[in-house]
Amino acid sequence: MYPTTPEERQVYEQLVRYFRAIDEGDFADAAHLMARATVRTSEGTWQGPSGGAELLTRLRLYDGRPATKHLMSTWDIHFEAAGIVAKSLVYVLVLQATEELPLSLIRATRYADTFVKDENTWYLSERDTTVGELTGDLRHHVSPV
Amino acid sequence: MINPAGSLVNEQVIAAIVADLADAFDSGDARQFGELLRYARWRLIATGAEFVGTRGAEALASRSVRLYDGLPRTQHDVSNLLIEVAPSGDKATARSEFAVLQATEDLPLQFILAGHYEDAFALVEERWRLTSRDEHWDLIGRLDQHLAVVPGCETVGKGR
Amino acid sequence: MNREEVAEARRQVRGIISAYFNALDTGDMRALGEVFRYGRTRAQSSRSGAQVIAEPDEPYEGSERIIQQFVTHNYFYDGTPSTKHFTTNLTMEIHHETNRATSRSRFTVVQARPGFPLQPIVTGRYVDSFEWRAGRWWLVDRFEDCFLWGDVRHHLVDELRRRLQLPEFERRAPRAEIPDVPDHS
Repeated sequence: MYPTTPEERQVYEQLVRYFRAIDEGDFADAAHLMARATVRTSEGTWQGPSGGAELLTRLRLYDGRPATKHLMSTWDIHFEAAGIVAKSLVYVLVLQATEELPLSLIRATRYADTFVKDENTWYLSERDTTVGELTGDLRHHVSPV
Repeated sequence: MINPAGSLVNEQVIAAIVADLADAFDSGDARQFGELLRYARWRLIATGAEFVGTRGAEALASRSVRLYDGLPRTQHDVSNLLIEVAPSGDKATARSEFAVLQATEDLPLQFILAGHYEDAFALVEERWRLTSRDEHWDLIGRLDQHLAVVPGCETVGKGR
Repeated sequence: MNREEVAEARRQVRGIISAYFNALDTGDMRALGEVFRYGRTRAQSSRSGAQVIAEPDEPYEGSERIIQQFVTHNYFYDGTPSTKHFTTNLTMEIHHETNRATSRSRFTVVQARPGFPLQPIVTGRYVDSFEWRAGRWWLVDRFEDCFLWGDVRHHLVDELRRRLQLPEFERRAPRAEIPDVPDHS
């Protein structure tokens, strides 16, 4: 369902832009969208501008892109605290195709996000992608720690 | 239907068109698919093929793809939709991601293609209509059960 | 219904659908039952909509029956089915005359298990109806059409798969129609 209010759309747009930035290899943009966040993944917890950037350096690239596509499922959002906190839930499927990996589903997980509004702009404050995560062949996507 | 920008009603209508396009194609509803493309030009960027209007829709949905008992046996999942309605309120653009699943007798259920659409819409006689769609292929899998002619696009997509 | 009420209906419908899939995938029976407090579900399976290959189930109605159906039809691993029900193409319409809402959506179920790589296992469509009761919208009817089938042996119990006559038990080869002249518009 498409966002129903401008507020919802602002938060939703951050999600869409984040996944597009990853898929297009625009890691500066992706890191910027996570700059104020604490991000919990199955590989660890990443924090702040350097954390986000570091998470992204572990992605394997093919001609400058990770060769992935991140797809968002039906998305739900609830506002709290007089409208300055938003809790967002979305499922994400990650597809990848490389010379070595035929088009495959490599990850399916839930992104549970908290966005906070600060002077009329929303920013990601917390993200947890670990709940119920299903993984496929990630060897072509993430370098081991 | 013209509405103030705050209500996003235009966007809901446009989002429904995007969903209907996938539904009509996958369920083999040629009449609806043709009607949805009546004012549109659909271009496949990977091959340069172009399909225009209702007749183009017929070519796209029935002659350029393989059918099994009249159906393509595909599911087009469309997501990550972002719509921009122009301030004038009578034109819009949208971008979305898509992934195609297929299952046939010779193909176990799998993703066969993933890409993105760049769409344009306009109000025609006060109804929102698709006016153009550029279909980009980003990740390519097995197209041989889907396309009537599989283009030589080994250089397109994989890790592009 | 005014515009704001329609927008609120969209939000509630979205929330119900999201709650349903989160409940399914986390094995949360209580939450699943709550979604269907006033609801019933009917399913059919078809190959790409072309042919219904199994008669629709008797409708399952109400929280207890839905939970029972869920528990008896699916395999569980540490309390969850180890799936993700991924939904897209969700649209909603309000029917002002009957004070109902209907929604359409697509689903793709993916699953991974040890020895069973992450993959789509079944896809389909939902048509849902909602009614306004006791101050909010409730799901009252769900029609599920399973459309494209993959390997559901780790998801649906043997007896159900047999009843659905899925390809592993009975294969029928559809004849592919390849056009004589490929389109080169």
